[in-house]
Amino acid sequence: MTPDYSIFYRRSISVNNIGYELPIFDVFVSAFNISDRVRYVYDNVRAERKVWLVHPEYSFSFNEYPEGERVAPVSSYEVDQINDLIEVIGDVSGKRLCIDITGFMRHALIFLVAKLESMGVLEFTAVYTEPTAYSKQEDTAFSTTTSGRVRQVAGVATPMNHSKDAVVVGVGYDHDLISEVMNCKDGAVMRPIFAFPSLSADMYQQSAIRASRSGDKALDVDWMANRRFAPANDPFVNAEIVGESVRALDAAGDFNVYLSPLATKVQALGFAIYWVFEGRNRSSTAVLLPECVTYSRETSVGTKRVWAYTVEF
Amino acid sequence: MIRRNPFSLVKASDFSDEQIQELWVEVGKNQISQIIEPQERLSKFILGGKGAGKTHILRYHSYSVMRLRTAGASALNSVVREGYLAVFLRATAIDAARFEATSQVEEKWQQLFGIYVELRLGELVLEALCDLVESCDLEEDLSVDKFIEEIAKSVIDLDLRPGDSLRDLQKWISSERQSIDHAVINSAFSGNLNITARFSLGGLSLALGRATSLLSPSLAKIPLLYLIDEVENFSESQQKVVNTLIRYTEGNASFRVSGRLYSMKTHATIGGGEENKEGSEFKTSNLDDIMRKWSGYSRFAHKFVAKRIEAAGGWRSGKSASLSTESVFESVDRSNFYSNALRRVQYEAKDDGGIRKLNAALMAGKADPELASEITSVLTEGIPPLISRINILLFCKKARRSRNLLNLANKIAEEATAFVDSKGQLRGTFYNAYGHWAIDAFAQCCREAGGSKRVIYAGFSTFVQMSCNNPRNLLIVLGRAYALAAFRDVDMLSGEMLSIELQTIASAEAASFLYESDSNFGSPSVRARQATSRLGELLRTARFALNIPEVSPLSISFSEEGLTENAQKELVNALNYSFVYELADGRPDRNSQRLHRKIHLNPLLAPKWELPLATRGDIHLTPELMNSIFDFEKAINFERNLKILSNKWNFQFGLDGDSQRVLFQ
Repeated sequence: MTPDYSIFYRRSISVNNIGYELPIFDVFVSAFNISDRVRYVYDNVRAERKVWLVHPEYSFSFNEYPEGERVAPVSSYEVDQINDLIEVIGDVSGKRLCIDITGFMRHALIFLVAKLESMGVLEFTAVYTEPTAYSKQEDTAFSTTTSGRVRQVAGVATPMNHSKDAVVVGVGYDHDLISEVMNCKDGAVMRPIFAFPSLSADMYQQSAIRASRSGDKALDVDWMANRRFAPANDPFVNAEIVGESVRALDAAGDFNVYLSPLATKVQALGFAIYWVFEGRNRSSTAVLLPECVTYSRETSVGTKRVWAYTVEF
Repeated sequence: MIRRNPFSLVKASDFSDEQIQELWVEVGKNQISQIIEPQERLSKFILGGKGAGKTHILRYHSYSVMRLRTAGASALNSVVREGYLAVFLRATAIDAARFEATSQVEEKWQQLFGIYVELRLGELVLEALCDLVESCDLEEDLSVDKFIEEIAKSVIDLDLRPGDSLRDLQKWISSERQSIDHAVINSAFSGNLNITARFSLGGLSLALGRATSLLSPSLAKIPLLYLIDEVENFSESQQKVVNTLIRYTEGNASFRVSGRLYSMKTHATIGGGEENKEGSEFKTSNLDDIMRKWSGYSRFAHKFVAKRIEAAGGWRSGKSASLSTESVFESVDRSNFYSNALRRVQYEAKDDGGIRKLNAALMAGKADPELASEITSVLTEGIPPLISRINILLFCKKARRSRNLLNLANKIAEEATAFVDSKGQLRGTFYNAYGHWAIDAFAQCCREAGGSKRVIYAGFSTFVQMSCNNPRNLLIVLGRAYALAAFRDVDMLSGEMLSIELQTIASAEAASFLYESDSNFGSPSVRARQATSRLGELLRTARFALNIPEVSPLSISFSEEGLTENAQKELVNALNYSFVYELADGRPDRNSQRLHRKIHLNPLLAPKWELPLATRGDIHLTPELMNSIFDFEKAINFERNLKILSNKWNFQFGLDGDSQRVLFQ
C-alpha cells in the first residue's frame, strides 16, 4: 500500500520566535558552517543539549571550530561520521531529538535518517531554514570539489537485479553534480524532479538554467516530458513524488532505480523518507551521490523562513 | 511532424542491443580483428579516448547483439560460426565504490569485490548459455551435468544435483550475488561484514571457461570472452583484482577490458603479487591510434551518417537518390582567393588588421614612419585581401634574414602578383606559401569581418575532419547542426541547405558542449578543463599573431623532462577526458635527437578558440610554459608567459618602452 505522506506534520516557524514556537528538545544537532541562518537557529532553539556536527568537507581548522559540544569526524564516509555523532549523543531512545538539516552534507543526512530508523527511534524533528537568496544566484556552486566517484550511500540500497538503469534525480543548482551522475549512469533513463515551487520565485529559473548545462540528456525531449515537481521546502511531498516517479518506471519496465537528490537538504530528507517507507522494500533501489571532497561554507544570504518537520517512522 | 534528431544519441551505452546492431557500420574485418582478437587466448586492454568506440565494439561482440546479428540460425550454430562466446559487463554496474567507501580498504573487501565481479560475470554467462541451450534442437549433444560438475569442483556447497538445469545454477549464482549485496548493505549498520565466499578468486570465472567447453563438443574450442567496459571506474585496489583474474586465465577464458587511455592505474596483482607484463599476460590495443591511422575513416563516416539518417526515417525528398549528406551543408567558397567568402562575411579591406599590426610592429621597432608606410603599401595595395595578408606574414618570416626590408617587400609583392595573375596556378615559393597559410589568413580576416566576427567552420568534410577519426565527435557536431536547423526551420532531410553561418554556430555549440557539459568527472576533470583552456588561449594567440609561429597551430611539442608531477597528472587527465590527443610519433629534438612528445587539442574544441582543424606545425614549449599550462599551482605564471610569447609573435622588430612595461606588469 502506498503511504500517505500528506498526514505528516510540517509547519512554518516565525524567524523571530523560534524559541517559543518549537518545543524544548532533549538533544539538538546542527551541522556547522558559516551561514548566519545555521548559527541563528542554533542560538535560538531551546534544548537540554546542543551538539555541533562539524563535517570534514567544510575543511574547518581547529581554530575555526564553534564553541560548545561538538563532534568533528575525520572521515568523510557517512557511516563514520554518523557513528561518531551517535557515540557522542549517546542513547537516543525516548528522547526528543531535533536536527537542523540546513548545513548537513547530503550523504550523511540520508544515512542518519536510515540509521535512526534502524536504531528504533520513533520520531524526530527536522528543522530547515530558508535563505533569502543564494549568494551568486544561478552561478552559486555548492559542492566546490568532488572526487569524481559517484557512489551509493552506505546501507541505503537493495540488490540490483535488472539490466536497465533509471535515475530519479533531484535537480538543484549544482549542474556539475547532475552531469557527474549522468556520466556515471550514462545508459540510464533520467527522471528529473525539479524543486518547484522553489524557495523563492527566481530560484526555479536559476536551477532550470543550471540543469540545462548538465549535458545532452537535460536537453532531451525525454527529460522535459518526464519531469516532475515537488516543493523545495516540503520533504513529504518530495517523498511522494519520488514514489510516483518510481511507480511510473515500474509500469514501464524492469529498472534498477538510483535516487539522486541534488537540490535542497529538504529534498534529500524527502528522498530518505521515501527510502524508509518504500524504497527499501523495492528490490533494485539505491541512493546515489557524487562524492564531495570539499563543500562551500557559505552559499546563502539572509534568513527567510524556518520550517519544522516531524518525521515519524 | 517533429522528427527525432538522427544524431542525438552520442553514447554507445545509450543504445539498445537492437540499435547497436542497426547502427553498426562495419569498420572492416581486419580492423575489428586487430582490435578485439576474439581468438587470442591472451587477455587484452582496449584503450582509447571518449567516443573512440570502445563500448560500441565490445557490445557488438556480446552474445546478445551477436544473436540479433545471426537471427535465424540456432544460438549454438551462431556461436560456433562466430567462433567465440562473449558477455558484456559495464564496470559502473558493479557500483564498485561501495566496496571501499571506508578509508581503510581491507583485504577482505578487495577479495569480496573480486568474488562479486565474478558472480556478475557468471550471471551473464549463464544467461547466454541458458538461451543457447533452450534454443537447441533436442538431438543436440549437450552435457549440462558435466558443466555443473566442473563448476562444483571450484565451488563450496554448490547445492545442485545431477539433473538440475543451467537455470538452477543461474539462480544459485544470483542468490550468492544478492547475499553479498545484503552483507555489504547490512555492514553499514552493524559494522560487521558477515559473508562466506563460496569460492576463491578466479574460482568461478575460470571454471566457467572450462565448463563451457564441456557443455557441447561444438563448444570445446570456443573461447569465452569476458568483456569489461570502462575499467577506469575501478580503483587501483580493484584493478589489481582484474589483473589477478587476467594473470590466472587459462584454457578458453580470457578478458577484453576497455577504458580510457590511462585508465589502468596499475598492472600489479593482489597480495603484493607480481606485475602483469605486456606480451606475457596481456596485450594492448590503442583504439585512438588505430582509428587515426585508418585511411578508410572518411568512407566510414559517410556510411555511418547514412545509417543514422536511414534509422531516423531517411531522406524525405522524392529525389532522395540525388541527396547526399554533403549537399545539405553549405561549404566555404574558396575560389578567387576566398574573395566571395570574404564578401559573404562582410570583410572590409580598409580596416585590415594585418596592416595595422604590421605598422604597429614596425613602429615599435623604431622604423622610419615613411618606410613603414611604404612597406605596408607595397605588400598590400592592389592585391586581394587574403594574398596581402599572406604577404605580410611572409615579410615577417623573412625580415630577420633581410638587410633591406623594402627590397624584401617588393620581392614578395612581385611573387604574389605573379601568383594572382596566374589565377593561383604558378608553381613556386608563393604557391607553397598559399597552400600553407591560406586557411589561417582567412581565419584572421573572418575574425575582423563585420558579418561574422568569427572564424567559419562549414561543410560536411570540415565536420569529418573536426571529428578526428572519432565517430562520437562527429555525432556531437552533426547533432548540434541538425538541432539548430530544426529550430530555424531548415529541413535538411528534405534537401534544404544549412548555411555556413548556422554551421559555425553549431560548431561553437558542439565545442562548448564537449568542454563544459560532457566531461564532468569531479575535480580532476575541472583542473584538466582549466589546463585545456590555457592551452587553447596560447594556440589562439599564435594563430592570430602577426607572425604566426607555425602553420595551422593546433599542436604543441614538449620534453617530459622538467614537467612537475602536477603537470604530468593534469596532462594525463586532459588526455583521458579527450580534451587533447597525443600523436604517437612525436618529434625529435633538433639538437639531442631525443623524441619530444606531441599533443594537439581535440579539433572538436577548436571553434571555442577559433583554431584550425588540421594538425600541421607544432609549437615547441619549454617546461616552464608547459608547467604554467598544466600545473594548477604554476598557472599564476601563465598570463605573463603568454604576454612574452604574444610580444615575440607580434613585435618581432623590437619593443618600445610602453610595450615593455605591459610585458612586465
